[in-house]
Order: sequence, then C-alpha cells, then structure tokens
Amino acid sequence: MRQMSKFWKNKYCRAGISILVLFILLAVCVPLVSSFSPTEQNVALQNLGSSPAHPFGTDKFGRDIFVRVWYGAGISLLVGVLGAVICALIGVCYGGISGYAGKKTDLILMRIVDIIDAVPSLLYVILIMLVLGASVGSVILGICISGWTKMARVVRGEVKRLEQMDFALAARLTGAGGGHILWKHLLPCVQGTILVNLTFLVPEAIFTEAFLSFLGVGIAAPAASLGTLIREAKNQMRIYPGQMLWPMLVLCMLILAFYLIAAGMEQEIGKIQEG
Amino acid sequence: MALLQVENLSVTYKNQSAGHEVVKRVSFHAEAGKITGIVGESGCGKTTLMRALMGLLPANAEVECDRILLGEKDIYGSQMEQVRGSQISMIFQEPSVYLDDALTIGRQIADTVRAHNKCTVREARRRAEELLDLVGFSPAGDFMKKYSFELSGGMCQRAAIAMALACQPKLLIADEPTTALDALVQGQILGLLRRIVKETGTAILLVSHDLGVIASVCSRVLVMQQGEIVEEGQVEDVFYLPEHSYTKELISLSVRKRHARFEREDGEWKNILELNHVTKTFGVQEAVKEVSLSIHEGEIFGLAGESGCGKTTLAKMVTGLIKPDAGQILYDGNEVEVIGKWKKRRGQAGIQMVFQSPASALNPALTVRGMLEDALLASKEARKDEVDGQVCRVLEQVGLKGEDADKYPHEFSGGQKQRLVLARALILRPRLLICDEPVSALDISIQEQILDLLTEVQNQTKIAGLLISHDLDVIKYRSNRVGIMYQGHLVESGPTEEVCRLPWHPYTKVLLESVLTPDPFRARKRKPVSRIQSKLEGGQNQCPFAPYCGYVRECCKRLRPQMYRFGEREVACFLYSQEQGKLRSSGYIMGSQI
Repeated sequence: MRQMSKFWKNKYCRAGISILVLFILLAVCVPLVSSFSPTEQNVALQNLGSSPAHPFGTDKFGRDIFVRVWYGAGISLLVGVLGAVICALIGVCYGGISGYAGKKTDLILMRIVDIIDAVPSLLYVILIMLVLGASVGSVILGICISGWTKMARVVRGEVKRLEQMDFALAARLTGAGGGHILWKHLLPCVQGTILVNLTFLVPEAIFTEAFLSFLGVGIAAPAASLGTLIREAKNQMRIYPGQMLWPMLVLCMLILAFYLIAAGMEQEIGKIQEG
Repeated sequence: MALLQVENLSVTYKNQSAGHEVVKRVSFHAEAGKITGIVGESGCGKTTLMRALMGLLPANAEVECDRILLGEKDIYGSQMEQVRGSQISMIFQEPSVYLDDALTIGRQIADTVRAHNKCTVREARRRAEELLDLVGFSPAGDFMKKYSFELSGGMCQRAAIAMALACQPKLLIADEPTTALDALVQGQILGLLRRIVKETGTAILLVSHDLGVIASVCSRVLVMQQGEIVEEGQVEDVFYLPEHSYTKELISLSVRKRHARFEREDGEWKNILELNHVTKTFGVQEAVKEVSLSIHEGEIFGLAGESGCGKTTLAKMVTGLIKPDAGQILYDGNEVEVIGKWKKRRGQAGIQMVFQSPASALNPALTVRGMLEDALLASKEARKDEVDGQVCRVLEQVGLKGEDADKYPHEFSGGQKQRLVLARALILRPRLLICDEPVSALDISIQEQILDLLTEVQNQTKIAGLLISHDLDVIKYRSNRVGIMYQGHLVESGPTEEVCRLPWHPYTKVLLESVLTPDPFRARKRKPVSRIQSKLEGGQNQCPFAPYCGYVRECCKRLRPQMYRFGEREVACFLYSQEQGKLRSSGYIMGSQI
C-alpha cells in the first residue's frame, strides 16, 4: 500500500491510471447503458457521421461505433490483462525455479526457453487460432504460449543474484526449505521488477490481439475487439475515415496508458532502490 | 607556502524538496612535499569534499566557495576542467574497479601520459615504464603488458598510483587508498606514498577513516565531523594532545581496550566443534588445505589471516553451506550435515552465523518481525503462540526495542542492522555462533559497541563462538584461543594472549607487526614489511610462507611442515621440528624461535 501511494504521486503513473480507470468505466458501462446493441444491425442507420445520438457515428451495417468501440476495448482489456497475468505467473514460477536451482536444472530449463523463443511467437498464435477456432480463449492461450519467456529470464537473473546474498544463506541456516526461501525471501525482493514487467506485458498482449484481429485470425465477428473494428473500417477508409479513427485512437490511448504506468513505476522503484 | 588553499567551501545536495548541506564552510590548506590527512567517520563529508576539489560531483550538488588557490592561481569555477588531471589527480578506494579490464596497464598509463603531454607513443611508453618502476614494479617492462585482472589488489593500487602520477600532478588526492587492502599490503602502499612525496615533491591529501594510517604517514591532519573541520594541526599535536572532544573520542576508540573475557574453568573441555584435515578447492585454487582445529564449549576461538586466505570458506563449511572436499567436520561428535538448496535440514539449528555486511544479510522486503518469525518457524524451535514473546526477548537482548519489530531494515543504521543480524542468529538459541568479519563494514565507534555486545551475549549465554577477522586487533582481546591462517593453511594456534605476546610462526609475527597504531611516533618507526612482489615458482611441496619468510631454510622449500604441538600451542614451521629438537635437552620447554 505504501508503494501504491508513491506510484500515485508520480505524474506518469497518475496520467496513465486516470486514462485507464476512465476507459475501464466506459468499457463496462457503455454497452450496459446504451440503447444500441453492439452487434444488432440496422439498415436505416448505415454510415452516419458523428451526432449527439451516435458520438462516433455508425458503420456500414448501421451499428453504433461508440458502443462497439467500448465493447471492443473491454475485450481488448480482458485479453491483455488476463494474458499478461497468466504469462507473469508462469514466468515468475519458471524463472524462480530455474534461477534458484542453478547448474544442470537451470541449464535444461533455460534451453527449453531458448527453443520456445526460437519460433516466432505469431506463428504459435496463428496455428492455435486455426486449430481451436477464433475466440477470446484461444487468443489468450496463443499469447501465453510464448509470452512468459521474457518474464522468466528477468526473474531468473534476479533470483540468481539474490540467492547468493547473505540473507538467503541465513535463511538456509535456519532450516527453511527451498520453496519457502524462494517464495518468502527471494521473490518479494523482485516484486518491483515483476510489477513493472507485468505492466509492460499488458500492452504487448493488447497489441498482439489487435494485430491478429486486424489480420482476421483473432476475435471473430460479430464479436468485436479494437482490432476487428479497425479491420472492418479498412475497406471504406477513404470514404469514412472516421470509422477507423475512433477505434485506433482508443487503442493508442489504451496502450499509452499502460506504458505510462509502467514508466512511472520504473522511476519510483528505481528511486526506492537508490534509497 | 601552502600549495593548496581552500577558503569557505560548502557543498549542498539538492533534492526535489530540500537541500542537504554535506560540507559546511570548510577552509584548509595543504603543503607541497607533505601528506595532509583528513580523518572522520563515514558520512562526514570527506569524500564529497575531495570530489568538490576535483569537480567530480553529481549535477544535484551545489558548490559554494570563496576561492581555491592552487599555487598562485584561483582554480575555483571554470578553470577546474583545465587543472583536473593535469595538476590534480586522484586515486580511489577500489583500484580494480577503475582500471580498465580491456587494456594493459602499460597502455593505460601511456595513454594518460599522452593525454597531457605532447610526445610520441614510444616516449609515452618509456615514461610509463619509468612510472611503473617508481611505484615498485620490477622489472617494470614485464608488467607493461599485464591486465588489471592479472594483478593483486595491492599491485592494482600501485598501477593506479602510477597512472595518477603520469601527468606530474602538483596535488594527489588519495581517497581511502588502502581500505580495500590487507594490512601487509597497506603498509607497502603507505610506504610508497611517503616515498613519492619525498621524491617528487607532490602534495598528497590522504583521506582515511583509519587513524593508524594517518598517524603513520601524515604530517598534518584535519579531523572532520558532520561536514565541518573540528580540529586541525600537526599530527603529533592532534594525536597526543587532542583538544576537541570528538577527536579525543576517535583516538580513544581506535586503541582497542583490554576486555574482560569469559574465563573457562580449568578441567576437561568438551569439544563442540572438531575439524579433521578439512580441505576445499575451487577449481585449481586451494581455498582451505588440511585444516584441523577444535573449538571447546563456551570459548571464543579467533581466526585471523589476510583476505583470501580461506577464512570465509572455512566458516561456510562449518555451517554446512559448503561441502568439504576431504576431511571431517564434527559438531557435537556428529558430522555436520550439508545443507542442500531445496532440502530442509533436520537438526543443527545450533550453528548460526553473523555475516560481514549487514546490508546484504538482511532481506529488504521483510520486516524485522517477519524475518525473526520466519527463522523461528522454519526451524520449528517454537510454537506459534510463543513467537511474539521470543521476538521481543531477542530484540531486547541485542539492545533494540520491541517496537522496532515492525520496521524494515532500511530504517536502521549500519550498527543497528548488525544487531538485527545477531538477533536472527540468537533467536534460535545456537550453541555455536560463527561471526564472519562482524565489524569490518562498520565505523570504528560502532565496531566497539558491536564487539561489546557480542562479548556480553557470550558471557550471558555461554555459547561457543568462532570470531573471524582479518584484523588481529579485533581478535586480540576478544577470544580465548586463536588460529592464524595463511593461504588456506592453519599455521599457528594457541591461547590468544600467548600467541599475541610471543608469536612462534614467522607469519604471525608479520601479521602482528602490520597492525597500525594511532600513535605517530611508534607508527612511523615501524618498518614496512618487505615482501617479494612476484610469487616464487615453488611447487605444492613447500611451506606456503617460504617465499616471504625471513627464516627460510633449505627444507622449507622441499617439504610442507606439519603441525608441531607443544602443550596448548601448535605451529606449522620447521623451526619447531623434531630435527631441531634433537639438539635440545630433554627438559627443554619450547619457546619462540624467532
């Protein structure tokens, strides 16, 4: 909690968190409150411009873009946060064990990571989408298959360094087991680094999802993520650029918000470590 | 005429909110051809002051000054860049950090020469060789092609001094130049500084926290406390007749006092720890070689030796953190269990350890209570409902308060942190406490407090202790028996008082003589111990000390001496061998042969 209030004092963090909270509120409330459905088509309302009733206008099927953008943002957020958290969990456990075990186990575990990293990550995602079909679940699975390796490497390095510190030796002297030392003594010291890396993982996951949906292998219609919306607007880009502009803007702001938070947290944690 | 004249120099560190004045209106001067000492505890602003003179402070530091005169010229302000490196140069504490690993030392010195003088590469090289010769490398040509990682700490510091002298500076600033070095090497480096001053007429500003260092080489001394110079004058005046109360305190603290030890009762002593021919090698390097010793219940055993002689490795083997390659370590008659990384250890909570650096021995993410509770519960020494009481008890035992339990380590000072490290060891009620350099990371005034605390705890609980230090002075009055280690070998052991009064092994004598006393007259009289720089080729089968020993004989180079035992004393030196014994009468009582 002490750290949370420090983060709030940082101007980057504050800006990022403000944008994020606003977007989450909109993503939750707009589809619930609005009288327009994100998926229902209406021929009478095709390709309208911005107006008080439709702030972002409507698309070629007469769906309200305002509702669809916030509905899509919700899905993007869900994919991003869930994907990043799962990646972080795997990465922390894997990296922790690899770093603490040392020697042979470490060698084998890290070579496995190298092999996973050697295959382009988009290949995994596209293959999984083809096999499991396009849905939120399979996008998250695809992101998680190779997304955790960076976190694992970072945590491994830190644990390897901390494991040599005298306090880890002292804990061994008291008779604590390996899992206990890793969980109670070493990983809490890495929490700042983990938090920053986790925050960087979220926009990466959001971006991957948007990219896939834009290519047409991500979330399938009529469900929509921000990537899908951009893809749908692409065909009429020259005639109705507004239809593409709004989802792109929201996507940019969303990713920016996470990067701001991460950058701010990095600054604050750096300050704490310097003393 | 003073070479350097500083008037009213202040340094303020600017934070976002407040300024913090580290150096407060300091005025002093330094004379050419003399060494001026600056002494004070860590955090008193010595280093900041020196960096201000060099213009090397970070951007958030603000320097205010009336003037800094170097010779006739005022160098304060814009002129700083021009004189830095050409007329003022600096040597730092840790030479291996600021020598470049990727370049040979000859190249680095030659580059420095060329940066300040117009000359050809060949001339610069010749000059570099001269400089290396001046600082004691012989033959200098061989060392030109060496890299810094091929040299020992003392030789690195020599190379660094050569580099600092490359531009023929008028003023040389030496910031704790010997703190990272062993006592023996420290003596050599100080001798070198003294020679440089005499031969080149350079003025040296020597910063040190060690009064012994100041006393042995300086002619004038400044005493700093919290950013102010509280006393200055000739070394003799300041040391023999200190006026300021802080100076008096510093001087009285640096003379280790005779201390009441816990005296054992005579009779049968049970061994709590026994080492039989313990050996450990890392790769080709022998860390500990065939060490045998025993620690009795309720006594403090001191272990001394220069850094890298295997003391810490020995300590880690005793605790079970490292597995010995050969030999036996018996705790209470049972072999010490090696603690794996994953496996919980079963017993042996009886052996606990106090580490050298309290900063790395405390987990920054755990509160004091968290740390102590964790130790208790992990060892299953206490039930959950007893934990709170135990935490309070042990905190009071080490001189802290119960309320401190909810703080994080960074909220404590260095000395308090070391108390916390001790608390964690004590909460498990150990029977053997291993203290690995428990005070060497602390200021002198806190060192005594921590040592007093250790002695007090030992008196109360009657636990046995293994006190490890590179500084024989620390062990001298704090242990019942002492062991002297040299390059992994135990060369002498016996009752501390006797060993310190009358050393038998030549190395012990050297080690005892290398302790610097804060007494200018005696410190200057002391001859620096001469040691040959390069290691002699000697093989496995020779006395490890033979290349440096003044009493070396033919057999020392062929054979490795075994431990010879006389009463309570043991010594590994041929001077005490059976062969020599033949010449002695049967009733002969062994005394020192050196």
